[in-house]
Amino acid sequence: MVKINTEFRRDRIVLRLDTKKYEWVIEPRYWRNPILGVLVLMVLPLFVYQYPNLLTMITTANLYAAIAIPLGLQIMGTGRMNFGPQFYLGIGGYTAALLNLHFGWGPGATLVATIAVCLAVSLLLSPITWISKGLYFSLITLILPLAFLDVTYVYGDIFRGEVGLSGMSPLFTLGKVSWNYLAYFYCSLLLLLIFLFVSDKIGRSRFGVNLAAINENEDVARMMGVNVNRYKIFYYVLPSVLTGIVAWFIVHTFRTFAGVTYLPLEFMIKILLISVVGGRGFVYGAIPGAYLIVGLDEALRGLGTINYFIYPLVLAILIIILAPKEGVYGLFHRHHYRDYYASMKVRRE
Amino acid sequence: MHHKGLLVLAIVLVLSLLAGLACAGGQPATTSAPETPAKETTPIKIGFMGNLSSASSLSAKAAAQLAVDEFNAAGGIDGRKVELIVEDTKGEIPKCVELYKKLVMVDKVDLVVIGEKVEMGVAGMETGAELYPEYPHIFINTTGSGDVIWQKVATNYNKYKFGFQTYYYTSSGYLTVMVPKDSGPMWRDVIKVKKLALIYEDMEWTKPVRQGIPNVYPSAKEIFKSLGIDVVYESTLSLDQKVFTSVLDDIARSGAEGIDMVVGYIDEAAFVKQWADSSAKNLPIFMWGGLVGMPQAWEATGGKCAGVMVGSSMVREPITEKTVPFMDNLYNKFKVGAIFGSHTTYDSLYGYKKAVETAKTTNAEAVIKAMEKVEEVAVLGTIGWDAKNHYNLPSPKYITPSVQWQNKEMKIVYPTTLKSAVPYKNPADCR
Repeated sequence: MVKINTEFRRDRIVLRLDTKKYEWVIEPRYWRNPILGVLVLMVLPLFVYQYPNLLTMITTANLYAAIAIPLGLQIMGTGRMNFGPQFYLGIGGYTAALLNLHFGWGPGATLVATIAVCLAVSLLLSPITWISKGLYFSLITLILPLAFLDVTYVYGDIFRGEVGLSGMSPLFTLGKVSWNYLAYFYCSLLLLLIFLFVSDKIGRSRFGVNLAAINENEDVARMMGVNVNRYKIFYYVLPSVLTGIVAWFIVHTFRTFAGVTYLPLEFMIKILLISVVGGRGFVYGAIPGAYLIVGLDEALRGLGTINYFIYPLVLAILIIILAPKEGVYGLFHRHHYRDYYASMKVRRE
Repeated sequence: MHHKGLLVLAIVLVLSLLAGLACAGGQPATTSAPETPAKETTPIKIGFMGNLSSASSLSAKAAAQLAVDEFNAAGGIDGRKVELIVEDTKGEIPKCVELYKKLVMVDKVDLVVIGEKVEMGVAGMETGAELYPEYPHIFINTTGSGDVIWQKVATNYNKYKFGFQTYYYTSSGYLTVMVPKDSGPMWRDVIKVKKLALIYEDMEWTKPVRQGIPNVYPSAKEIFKSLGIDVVYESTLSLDQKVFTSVLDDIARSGAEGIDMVVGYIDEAAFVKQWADSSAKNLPIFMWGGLVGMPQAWEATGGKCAGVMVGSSMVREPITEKTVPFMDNLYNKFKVGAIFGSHTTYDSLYGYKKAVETAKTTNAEAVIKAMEKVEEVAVLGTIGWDAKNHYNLPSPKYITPSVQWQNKEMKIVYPTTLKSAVPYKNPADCR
């Protein structure tokens, strides 16, 4: 006979099933701000629905954030700076595109294949998180996408070099292109929120405690009984798979995929900027970071060719101002400190 | 103080929204109404997209503006004013897709021109194919090389019929024309070689030249053979390669009497410098395009390019009455040189103008039919497009002269029928 015990506290409901305990936080201050943030993102398309280019712009911002969120988790969980998460963007994108074009696999099947291939490749490469530290890890991860870019040229018969692959089937067709674009936005938002939810749950769980311990000091964590190697594999593989899923989404929404766009360092710099400006210590910072970078890019583009000088200048100023405060989200977190927010920092040593 | 954090988040989101709205401008997107006579009095809108940090896109943009200014000065197209809307893709596919939608759905342009890398053209064409049934328009790719644009039309006409490609003679789509009618006769009749070395850069656009396309084109090697020229050496260079001496030594040993280089993006300055000091320095060399075809190549190579031949549209040869005025006007009005991408953009707009005037409407279906038949005097000869494949009419209709560096200047050596053509010289005689 299962013993059920329900307890109504001031701030939460606690449910006990035998030895298991479940909690639901009900006090508004715990969930008000995330709900507000999600609501803002959900109503945003109502203002820009008539402007499909803006809808695409904020869809792109969602996708950039969806790459930056797992990257943040990976940086914290492995205690290492990955300079090449776009490698898995390439792996995932080409997997989905090639299977769709040559074998006629639909988006559902290519999603499964993308996850499987990214899982296999990242598992294969995950021991680099044990072998290399600091700068060496960064250098290895920096080289991987660049080497893959060369592969797309060398094996041009498969990857079509600088031209890339095109003509992949769309995620769905709703009858009107403007409906498609609206649906793409909400799908990208859903993807982003799932990634955020997964990262948030990990951050608050026992896994998250170990993550913080590894991030603070790997040797001390090991001494305290944390299986550091196992966790590092997990924190390398999971974000890699999530990044691959973003590539799958790009393949079936933009319907073109060229490694020359996503694999070079320039793309990675954009994602790093999103992390730094948004708040590199928190996975949540990726969202304001992505919207800020993409919005700023669009706003300054109107200045003409001078924006090529102004844009990096503004970014440099933003980094100088925001980086010491742990980014835009750091400003928020500083004034609204809550112990339930993940507050893991990128290891500085 | 308490709400500062939320305020920051709100500002970030509002900033992005306002920024985007400010840039979007114009009317919101609505599905195109059926063409009516009333609409035919409104200005014709042309959208230009390019990476405005690249020299070729800037030159192409200036060429588009020059053409539109000339149209308006002459009373517009079919009596309608022409409006040019320029967008900067920054060389990013997501931005390219975003702006293509803006031009077609919000600005409601009749024609989209993409004047940059081929992957942008491909991304634009895919977006255009999605939009075309609801938002009919024309698309012309004027700078990106390779076969992919026209092959899409060739393989799925109904889906991609709105797309056209204008390119210089190096487009591999012209392989059956380029090698048999241009470089082949040049090697055989002018330079008089029987054995040739073929060098390709490792890029997608050279692949059909290397391998041919089954049931479409044979490879360049096979075409040369049919002209009586044996290819005795073949090699591929990577884009980041800086040392070429071993390749040049191998060519010298192979017995090749000349080097045909299917390149445009390798480090040509480094290659030329090493060629001039190598055992192959007296072998004639012809590059399909790239830096060596630009006036600054002499300084960039320290004069080592003496004797090198290259396909270049930057030489002041009056191929038609439009050629020299175009080069002068582009420089005088916009302070940019008539480099790669500018001729094709300018000529494409004139081709489009003639098609609209023939069709007497901007209705996309009618204009497509007209563009498939149109022929118009252009900067590099005659502009028009193949009815089935939508690539521009190749040489000898559309010409890129082969020039040779002689006495610090680019001199036309082929076609020999051009007015300012000079005799070909051996590299040793040019030094």
